[in-house]
Amino acid sequence: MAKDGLTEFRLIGTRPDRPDGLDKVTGRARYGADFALPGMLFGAVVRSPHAHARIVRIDTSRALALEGVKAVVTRADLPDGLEGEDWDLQENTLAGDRALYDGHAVAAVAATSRLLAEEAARLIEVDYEVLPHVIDVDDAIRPDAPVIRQGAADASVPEGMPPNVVRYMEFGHGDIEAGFAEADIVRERSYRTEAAHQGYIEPHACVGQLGADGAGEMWVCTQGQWYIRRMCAAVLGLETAQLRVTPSEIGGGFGGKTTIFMEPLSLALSRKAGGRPVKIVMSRAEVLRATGPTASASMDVRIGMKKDGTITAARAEFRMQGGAFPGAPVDMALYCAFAPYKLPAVQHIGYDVLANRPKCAAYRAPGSPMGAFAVESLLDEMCRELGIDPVEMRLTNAVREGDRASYGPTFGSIGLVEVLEAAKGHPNMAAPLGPNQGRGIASGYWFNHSGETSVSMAISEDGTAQVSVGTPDIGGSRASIALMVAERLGIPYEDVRVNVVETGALGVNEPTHGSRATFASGKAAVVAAEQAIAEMCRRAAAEWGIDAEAVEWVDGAAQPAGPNAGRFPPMTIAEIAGKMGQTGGPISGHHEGLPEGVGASFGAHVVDVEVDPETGRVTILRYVVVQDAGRAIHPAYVEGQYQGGAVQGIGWALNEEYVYDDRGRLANPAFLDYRVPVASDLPMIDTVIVEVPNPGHPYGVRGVGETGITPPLPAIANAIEDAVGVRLTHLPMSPSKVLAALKGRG
Amino acid sequence: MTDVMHNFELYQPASLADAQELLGDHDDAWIIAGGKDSLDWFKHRVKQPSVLVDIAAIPELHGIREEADGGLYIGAMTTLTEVAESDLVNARFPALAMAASKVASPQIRNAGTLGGNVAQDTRCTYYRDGFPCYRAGGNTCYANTPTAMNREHTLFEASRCVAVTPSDTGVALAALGATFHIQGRRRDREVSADEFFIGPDVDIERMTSLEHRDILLGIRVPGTWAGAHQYFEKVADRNAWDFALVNIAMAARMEGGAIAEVSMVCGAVQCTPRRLTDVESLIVGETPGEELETLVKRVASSGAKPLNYNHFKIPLMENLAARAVRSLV
Ligand SMILES: Cc1cc2nc3c(=O)[nH]c(=O)nc-3n(C[C@H](O)[C@H](O)[C@H](O)COP(=O)(O)OP(=O)(O)OC[C@H]3O[C@@H](n4cnc5c(N)ncnc54)[C@H](O)[C@@H]3O)c2cc1C
Repeated sequence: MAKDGLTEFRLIGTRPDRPDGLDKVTGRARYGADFALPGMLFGAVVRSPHAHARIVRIDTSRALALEGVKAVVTRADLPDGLEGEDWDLQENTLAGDRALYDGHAVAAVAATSRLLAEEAARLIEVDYEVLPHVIDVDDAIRPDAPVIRQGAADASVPEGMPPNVVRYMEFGHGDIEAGFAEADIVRERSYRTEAAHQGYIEPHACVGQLGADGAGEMWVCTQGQWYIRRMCAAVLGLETAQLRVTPSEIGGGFGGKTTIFMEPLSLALSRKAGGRPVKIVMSRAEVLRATGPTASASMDVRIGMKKDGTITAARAEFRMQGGAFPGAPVDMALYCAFAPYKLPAVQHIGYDVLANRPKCAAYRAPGSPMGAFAVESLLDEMCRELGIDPVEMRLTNAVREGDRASYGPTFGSIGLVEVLEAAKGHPNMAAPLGPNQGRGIASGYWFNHSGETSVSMAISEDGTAQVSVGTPDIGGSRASIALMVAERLGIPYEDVRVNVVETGALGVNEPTHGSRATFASGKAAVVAAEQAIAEMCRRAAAEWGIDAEAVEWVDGAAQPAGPNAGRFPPMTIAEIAGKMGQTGGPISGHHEGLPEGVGASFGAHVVDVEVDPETGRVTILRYVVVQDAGRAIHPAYVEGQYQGGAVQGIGWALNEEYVYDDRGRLANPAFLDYRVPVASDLPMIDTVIVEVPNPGHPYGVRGVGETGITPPLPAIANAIEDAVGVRLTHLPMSPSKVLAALKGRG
Repeated sequence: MTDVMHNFELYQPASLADAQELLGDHDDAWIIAGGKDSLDWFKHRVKQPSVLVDIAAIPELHGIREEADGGLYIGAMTTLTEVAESDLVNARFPALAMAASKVASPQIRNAGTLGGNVAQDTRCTYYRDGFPCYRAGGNTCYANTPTAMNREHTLFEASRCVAVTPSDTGVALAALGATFHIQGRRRDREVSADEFFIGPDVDIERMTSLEHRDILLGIRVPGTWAGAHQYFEKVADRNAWDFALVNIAMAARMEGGAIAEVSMVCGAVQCTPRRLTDVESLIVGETPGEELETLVKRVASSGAKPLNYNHFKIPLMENLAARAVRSLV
């Protein structure tokens, strides 16, 4: 049980089972691929085997001649005239005159069975004229690189920049040169991170149905049903309100399920097949080749430091490719890179560069891990050189409430100092290290996010409550929202059911992204509950014949207060609800808007590794995540987020990478060699929840989903240097790289 | 690259004779044991045989039997889990038990067989992706170009093709002097690892000497090394569910503190398990120790011809050879 000053919470801070838990462990939960309808067809997608090619001709006749094939769709079936981001989405859904990456969808087919659809896809003949391609970001930014798209650059790009640069940014504050001049040491290094995939276990899956009248429905695993609706409508030229999108349970998303891939194809195929529903389920290879991994990055960082560890100036220049479309998270990488530090002078420069790869999507704290890898690595190296404790250096420069952030705004209440102090005091910091073992520390940052939010809640006839939210539950948000609503209503946790609803049931909601569900939907749900409480107080007051203001809500019941105190026995929620048909009808609450008061979240990770100098293998011995949650509504799910973030970061640091062959084909589109860590690669990840409540949320929530993926990349690199004295600046730090680095040294 | 297999006919004979007859009747019949290699080929549609002969129900192919010379005869259909957990194998040939236990993941070891593990095809991604390379009957190697990805390819004995042997158990079996018992169309034969595993210079389209209508019945591990000191180590990117970057198996006998006899084999460095004969002759008669390790490292990889991205395999191989020798101290 948590305490807030004088308030003691009844439920906040407890760890009940999640409401969806039983369904998930018994197989009753319905995921994207579980949905089926009578008369349903199956879709398959024809994908480009080339990184860059002109599409000369598509012949669908042989496929259409196959018995059981009901529809084929190519770009010619999609409306013309889209612009900007909508055009990008459409172009990514189905290639136009050129295939822009290995796996780019070129055509789609629907048939009466999945096997038949696959056969038909094979019969669609596509003639390609292969064009020069470019994969690597440093190659793509060269002036003579193959041009991915003419005229894709936005207004931010100055004249004369290389053709694949589509966004440019430059920002900062202070006198950077004076800052470097003031430093005792100035160091500059280059770093590279490779593209990584979110690696959600559930592949993308949907069933779409669309009639000739433009009215349609979709069942889909997604983080954001309204995004799916808007994007499908845009790509297909439909009226948005005519589409109804229902989210299924979701087997992970991590940002990768906030956009569309094959969803519009199922609708387009359905429309052509006379409105029969069409199901499309991606294979793992399709997921890896053709959904949205994160960007790859090439980064230069320069930092000036005084002997006592004070940072005098910092500069970062990041180049990122996010595929054949604008949208690499270079801006967010820059915003987060120096966020934990109070800097008198800082300069950020960023390039968003096109390359022949799939369009990147969000991935847990988009951009932040890459920037942290560069900055936190260099800071560690400088601490080592100056003989300063890396935690003390971070405390010396730590931002506090009221400080100007490296990227401009002024920080409100934040908990970085508390996080660093907690890390300093953790027992792992004192664990003995043997030969070839080393310890690494790094900080991480994520803004957290609010966004469009609409929540309704209603009291049932028996005094239980239902809450309708628009944010799919990825990490336990139904449990957290139920806890908050039950706390406010003064009823048991089990009496609140939180439903994730379809697009027809609420106003527009942004997806579950930006660590926003417990913050934004949670905040709106509490406001809605308060409305319902106010109404229940009014109903009780009317019954008692007293002023509504003279009624207060205590422990799930209306109670006369002030001069009326004790005049009537409390009226419970069940009593009020049981009579609502006679006292004025349904009792409910509703809140929508852009909830304000987002609280940023800092974290610090401490990792101990052992490097085998003969094999190059890095073993994680101990790992602790320390992060400010604001308040942990359901601590088990906060810990789960911390651990999950750390594990994904560890994978990105050690093994995960998109490997392209010389022809620009993804060489590892399977979990066998796209190597996410397995259980035997990991120790138990220890967690420390720091709680510096966010004043912008009724219970102090900050959002905890993302910061955790950021520190592992640099923390592990720092630990490797501590263990064996080599500094790795290019991810992943797999045995081959570590061995090569050790060999180079020896 | 899909998840959907083509249509095929599945036969499940209950006797060797029936299996042979089926193989004789169908030219493109494909033997399937645990299916752990085969199904990937089918799902990716790179190989689409019209007939599958599932040999799981043939009793002779199962089980582990003791042999008069102190060795073991292991039926081809014995699962990797059975091999890894067998008391007999652990007592006599711990290198083999260890190798089997390091394959893939528990699920794959429960289904995958020892026969399938030694008969599996190579992992070269170009080849598995269906590129028309030499091994696939074409006339080029996609992995051995100046810019190709070849981190996992050969150091030795490349002949047009640079793919490596993927099998963990094959390396241990080669070190233990195992023989492979094969029933052919006309007669049975028993061949050594040297003859069973074949390089591209012998036949570029096969990894083993198994031909159509050959059924691997079992593997005989002779008593030669039973109970002797054995070593197996595999280095992969992950702890599980991953092929070797390099693996090593060794069997040795000590006499008076010196190495009397030794057999050492490395995998994933050439198309077949590579016997480290230079190391063997160097260390016989010598006393293990740091000095010897230094010498071992010097010769372990001699003759290696690394490709663009696999230079790291050289120190890895040298260090593993040194570690195997260290295990004798
Ligand atoms: C994800 C993954 C990871 C893996 N990791 C490893 C690893 O780390 N180390 C490793 O060594 N292997 C690994 N493998 C390979 C796997 O171990 C082998 O594929 C498996 O042991 C093969 O056995 P099987 O019985 O399933 O073979 P099958 O797929 O049934 O057969 C494989 C081949 O052998 C032939 N064959 C099988 N039995 C006979 C017989 N008795 N006579 C004649 N021909 C026969 C088949 O025709 C086929 O060509 C991995 C596989 C996967 C899918």
